[in-house]
Amino acid sequence: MQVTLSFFTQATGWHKPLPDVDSSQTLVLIFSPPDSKHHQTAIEQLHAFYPQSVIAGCSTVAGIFNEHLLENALVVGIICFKTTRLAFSSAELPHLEDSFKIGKQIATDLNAPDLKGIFILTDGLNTNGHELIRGIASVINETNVTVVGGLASDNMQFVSTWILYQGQAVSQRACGVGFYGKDLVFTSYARDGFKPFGPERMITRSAGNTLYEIDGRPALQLYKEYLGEHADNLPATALHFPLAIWNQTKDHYVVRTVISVDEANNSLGFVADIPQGYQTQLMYGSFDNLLEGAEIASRSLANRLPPQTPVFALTISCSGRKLVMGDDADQELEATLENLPSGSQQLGFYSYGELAPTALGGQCCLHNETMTLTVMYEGS
Amino acid sequence: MKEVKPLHKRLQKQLKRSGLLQHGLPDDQNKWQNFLHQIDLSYTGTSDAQYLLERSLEVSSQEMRKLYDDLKAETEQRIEALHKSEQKTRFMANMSHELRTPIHGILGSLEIVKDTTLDPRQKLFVDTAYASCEVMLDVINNILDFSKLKAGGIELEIIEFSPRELVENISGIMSTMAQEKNLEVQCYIPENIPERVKGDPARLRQMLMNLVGNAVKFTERGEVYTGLELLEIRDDKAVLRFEVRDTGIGIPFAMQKSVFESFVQVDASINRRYGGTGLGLTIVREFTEMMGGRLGLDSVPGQGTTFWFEITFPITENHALSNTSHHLEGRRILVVDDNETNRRILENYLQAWKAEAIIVSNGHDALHKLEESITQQKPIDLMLLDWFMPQMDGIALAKTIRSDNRHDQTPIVMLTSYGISLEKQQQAGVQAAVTKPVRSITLRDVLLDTLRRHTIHNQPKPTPATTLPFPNIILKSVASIEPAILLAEDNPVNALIAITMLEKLNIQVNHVTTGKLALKSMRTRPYKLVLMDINMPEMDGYTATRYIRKWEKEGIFKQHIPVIAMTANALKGDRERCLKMGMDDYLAKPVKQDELLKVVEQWLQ
Repeated sequence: MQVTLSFFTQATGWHKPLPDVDSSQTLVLIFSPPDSKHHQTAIEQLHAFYPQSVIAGCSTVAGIFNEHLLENALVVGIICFKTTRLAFSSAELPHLEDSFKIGKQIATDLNAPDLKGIFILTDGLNTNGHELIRGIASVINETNVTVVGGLASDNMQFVSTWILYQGQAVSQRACGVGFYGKDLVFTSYARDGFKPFGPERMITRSAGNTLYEIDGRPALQLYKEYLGEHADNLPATALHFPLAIWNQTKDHYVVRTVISVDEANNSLGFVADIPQGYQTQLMYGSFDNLLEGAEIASRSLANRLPPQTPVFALTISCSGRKLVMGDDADQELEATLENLPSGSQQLGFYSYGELAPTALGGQCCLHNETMTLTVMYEGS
Repeated sequence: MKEVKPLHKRLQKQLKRSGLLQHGLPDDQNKWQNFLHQIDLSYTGTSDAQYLLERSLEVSSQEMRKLYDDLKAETEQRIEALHKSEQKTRFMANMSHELRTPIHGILGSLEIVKDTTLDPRQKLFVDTAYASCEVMLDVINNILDFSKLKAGGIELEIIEFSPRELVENISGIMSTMAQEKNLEVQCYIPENIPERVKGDPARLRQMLMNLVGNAVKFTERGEVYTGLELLEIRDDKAVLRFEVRDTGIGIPFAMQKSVFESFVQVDASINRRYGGTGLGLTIVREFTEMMGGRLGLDSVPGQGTTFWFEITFPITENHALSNTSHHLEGRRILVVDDNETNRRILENYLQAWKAEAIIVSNGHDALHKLEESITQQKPIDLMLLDWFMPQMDGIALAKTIRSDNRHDQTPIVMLTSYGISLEKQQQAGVQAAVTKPVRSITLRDVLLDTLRRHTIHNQPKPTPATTLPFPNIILKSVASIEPAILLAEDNPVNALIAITMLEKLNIQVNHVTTGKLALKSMRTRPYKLVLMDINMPEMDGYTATRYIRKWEKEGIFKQHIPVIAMTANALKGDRERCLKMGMDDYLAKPVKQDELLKVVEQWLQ
């Protein structure tokens, strides 16, 4: 397995020359600034240079290039597998309600007995991530196949996100890359680092991605009471205070980010569905906590890897984390990379929703504010 | 130290990240600044976290405060409600006491007066007073029972009683009630009714009184009928049907279901016109259900209403009532009555006594039958005339009969709803009068008595007594120490009544007015029994009883002295409380003479 990472900016051109490794077992990953027009030429160049390879990519607020967080650069990874086979599937996703169907369709396309992993990219604003995963899970046996991925982002404007399809930036579409072969190790870990605090409360009224009542009280009012002076800058500050939604057995939670507040309805808006009747808890993430989350994610993965085996880490972190950590966001990238075996390389992007199993071998979930790490290597 | 460790660890990481050594001065200012920046991030994060935890505690403690306040308010409300309901119960008990005590005084006095010799007019007035008082007591009982029913505090009694006497007694009161309204009052109890059954006669009486009261109230003309019927006998149990029928205003079909509900009256104007509490029928329904019976009504508006209930009673005595009736066997009795129900009732009675009834509906037919009896040589033994009949009334008919010397010896018994003066009886040549509704036992007794007097004296004889001696209520002073009864009662009227009622026993009764005086008296002489009022000044009956029991235990009294409580508190639990306080028995006021004597005699044995 040969991994080459590079990036392109208009000003400086290619950071590293493109290796001549075009084959059907080559994967080209491209993470682009939302406004792709300055990078269209580079994208076309890649398609021309790797006609046989599987090419997948999407828009993002920032690309991950090893320990660096790159804005306004096209981040590219060219991974040439030795034995692993690849497959690509894509489908239009015109309406949110189609999410389950499209998830199922892509999974059906990619499914095979030796399928090891699926990497999903989708329009971040027009996908119900939870339903997409349910669609995939309806076809795939998740004890054998690891499903990871992310929702494309933009410059935190929530206006337009896209994925690459046949060399073009296309919205309302999803795609998946399938990885096949017995040599490939394809494993993932997710960690948010936010700390739940205060009492657990019941979600007593919600609809879609709007939360109206917690413990019978108006959600926004309660949220503000908790935030105190931080409530003055809502909804911007809401990224720092997501909610934990516990599962029924209360052994796992998913993080949900507040992206809007509605004073008239006293409600909170989220990027994902909020299930009624579940227990929730307010969360707080300090810089240190988030950093620790990233460290734990990489260390847990590293512990399962053979020593001195460099790996390729596909890292998808939440755009919200980038906002919370600000200028120091790249520290979490350092933290992950330094915990992986030496010689490992890291590529990825900041998303509007992370797809990864909550626990090892568990079901894939839609996360917010989470650092998800997927490592790949081909064993002997 | 536990908290320090992760911080220390973090610090080490921050040093490492900044490229600084743990033990050594920074060689590069940029590295130092980077380190300070990381420290600053940690501080900001930590103080933010602290702020949020404080907020969280604040929110939680506010919620707990509110929860505490709500809980406190709710608890206070509940306690207050509890106090109120206790006050209400207390109030009901007090009201019960306050109302029953004077009624007890009236009823007891009247009962004693009734036993003295009275002329018929006096008797009528006393009966009226007695009946009115009973009605009043029933109203009070209804209200008390209703509040008890609401609280689920009613228990039925199971005692032996005579259903026949019960219904006859009711109809007696009913006739007094119906007097001023010119109503025919009928009562029919067939001979096959078991003599004694087990049940709650007081409640049954109350149910019938409620129905009869309504019937009289809502009937302007016509008749009110009370009936008792044996539906079936099975395994020593009798199903009895009680029926009250009137020819009153009736109940609209739409209302027939809801009349058994509390406070429901057919319409508001009914209430203005007829008054009433609206509780009577509810109580009838509740009691019927408690007794495991069923009830119903048939009514045609403008024509009348029949209320009935059927209840199963265990039979304790079922002998037929025939030992004396054979004296009437074969006697030819002419009955003249314009009312069909009444004729049917009388015919039934007479047939049961095996008398030969010749029944007509008016004076002319009666005279015709009399004529026939002469021609056919089948003399009439007795004539039973109704007083109030159209055209020729009973008095006119009697005078006509007496004017014919062939019939001047045949005894005449007048049926009347009003009572008839002796003078008028004599003038009309009437030997006896029977007040409607006619009770079978009374009628039979009057008929037998009249026939007997006729054969012995062959001459009509008015009731002789004209003096009205009141009972002697002055206590005999007993010099020797004989066994006596001690009566502790603060109310002088109640005391007088009790003492008078007890006279029949021929035992000395000593009267004291407080619990303290009762104890004092008991230490000076032995008593066979104590009748103890509960509410007394200085020391109440409970306390006095406690002392009595204590002294018995200590050997100051040689033997157990029965203490019988007498209280006007008729609420549930009074009886239990009395027994718990060491009393042996319990009498609810107003006490009837029979009950008092029965209980006292039982404990004297």
